[in-house]
Amino acid sequence: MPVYVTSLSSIVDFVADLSRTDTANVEPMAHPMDGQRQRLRPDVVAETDHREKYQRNAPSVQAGLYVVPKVIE
Amino acid sequence: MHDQSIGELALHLGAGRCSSVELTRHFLARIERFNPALNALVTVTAEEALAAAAAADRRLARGERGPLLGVPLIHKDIFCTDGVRTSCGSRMLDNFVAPYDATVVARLRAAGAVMLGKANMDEFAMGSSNETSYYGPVRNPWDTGKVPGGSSGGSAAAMAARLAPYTTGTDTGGSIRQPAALTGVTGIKPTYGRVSRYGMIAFASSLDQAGVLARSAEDAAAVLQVMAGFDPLDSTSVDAPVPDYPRLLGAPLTGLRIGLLREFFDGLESRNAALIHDALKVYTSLGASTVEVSLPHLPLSVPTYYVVAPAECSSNLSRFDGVRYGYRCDNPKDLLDLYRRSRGEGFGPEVKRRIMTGTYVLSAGYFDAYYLKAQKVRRLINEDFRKAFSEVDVLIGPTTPTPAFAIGAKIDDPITMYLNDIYTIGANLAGLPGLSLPCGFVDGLPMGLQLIGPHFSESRLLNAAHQYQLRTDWHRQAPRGYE
Repeated sequence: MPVYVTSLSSIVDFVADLSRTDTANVEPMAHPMDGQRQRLRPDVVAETDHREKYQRNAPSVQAGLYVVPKVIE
Repeated sequence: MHDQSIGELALHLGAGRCSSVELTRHFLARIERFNPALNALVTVTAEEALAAAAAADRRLARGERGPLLGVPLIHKDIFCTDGVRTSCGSRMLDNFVAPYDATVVARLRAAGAVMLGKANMDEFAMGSSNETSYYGPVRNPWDTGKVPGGSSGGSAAAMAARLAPYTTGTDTGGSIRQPAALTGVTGIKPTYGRVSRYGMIAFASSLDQAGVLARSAEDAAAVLQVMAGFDPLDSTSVDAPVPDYPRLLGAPLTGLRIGLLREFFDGLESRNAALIHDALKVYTSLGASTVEVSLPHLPLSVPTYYVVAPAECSSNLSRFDGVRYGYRCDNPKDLLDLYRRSRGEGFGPEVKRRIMTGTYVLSAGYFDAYYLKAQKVRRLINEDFRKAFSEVDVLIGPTTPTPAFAIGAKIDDPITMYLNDIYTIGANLAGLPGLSLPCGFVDGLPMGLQLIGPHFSESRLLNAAHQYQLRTDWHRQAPRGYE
């Protein structure tokens, strides 16, 4: 844990440099292709069922359901 | 066979001078011989490779021809490969067998490419030295005491050691260009949205982009031609026509306006600067002109990146919960214990560091000061590039500040490690294409020249790199013992 304390502090100090830049009236940029619109597709079923194949990677499965420790007593 | 271009190999295959099975056996034998020392591959798929090669030979026998048909490659282990373990360099996915192909994998498979195996990489592509991999560091074939760069370090080392004619990589802050530079390889990161990200395990979704590491720009052009293009399965894939990259390699460079970034040359080590200036002489002899330009906000690209990338990473990696796939701890006492220990034991220190940084900069009270601020500075950097490209066609400078460094030298100091990417990160923040090509040696280790262009200028970058490679032979140099 002490390793993280030092390294995380140094990272936070490092990125604090940004505060010295004047960004008044600058719009935040979340995406590199600014202005690109997200596409929509027709609301029709395009995927087939792969549940069995996908669940082969699950650590624990029973009757097609993912198993986790008991949540509700 | 292992030093030939993709074009030459395709000609040999087409003329029946060798078969894909022979070619595949040749590279598998090299992997068997060199990989134990280099650790460049984490999975070798010999059986699947030979079956794919036999299938390619049947297509060739029917008269089919293609630039990649029957030519082997190695995929970075970040791309999902149906039926083959896809670990992303992490204990978290050490047991994960991908149930489908990434679009990049599917496109290359359809073109008849033969996958030899999966390349080692920094854990979840977070690193600049390939030392954060769960499977241990990759060694640089030029000097096995040195790192190959990262995060596509296995892909780069495999290229330098001639273990495959080409490899795939991904680049979020320099992860194709920096290792390409440190191993004497040509690597291109295309424009954001040019190559599909579907099935490519996400690190920072607004920055990640897939690309190629190859022997030359000519080879990279042939591969990118197959990889690039619209994919409805990736919501940020750009629906724009793909130019004929191989055909455009031959265009003359007369009148090319090259921008020299003042911020890249300030404080650049003199031997590194000398190599860049030698390269510029080649370009001016070909009719290009140079002009100095300034991107005043570029020095802020590293701190901007180390807010934006960890923020996106912390969100993306929240999917690893030990429930549906991936690592699960032993004997969890309740659900919270399952989450905590599965993530605590499944992720390595650098990944945890970035998740913690990311959740911190996104947390209430710090969001405006860090995350929103970084997004605003990102726009200023983007504007700087836009202005520069109104005056010049391409920006040229170094790929890295130094040649490959010793294994262990920077791993304990994240800031020093992060500053390796000082010249490459800007292109990711602005979504621009970037290319690194070998331009000489410092202390016997290869150095890279970086070209950055406006959005969708891959053909120009490949063309400029190819013209340089027609007149120089840095890209043909092989490390001793791997010729």
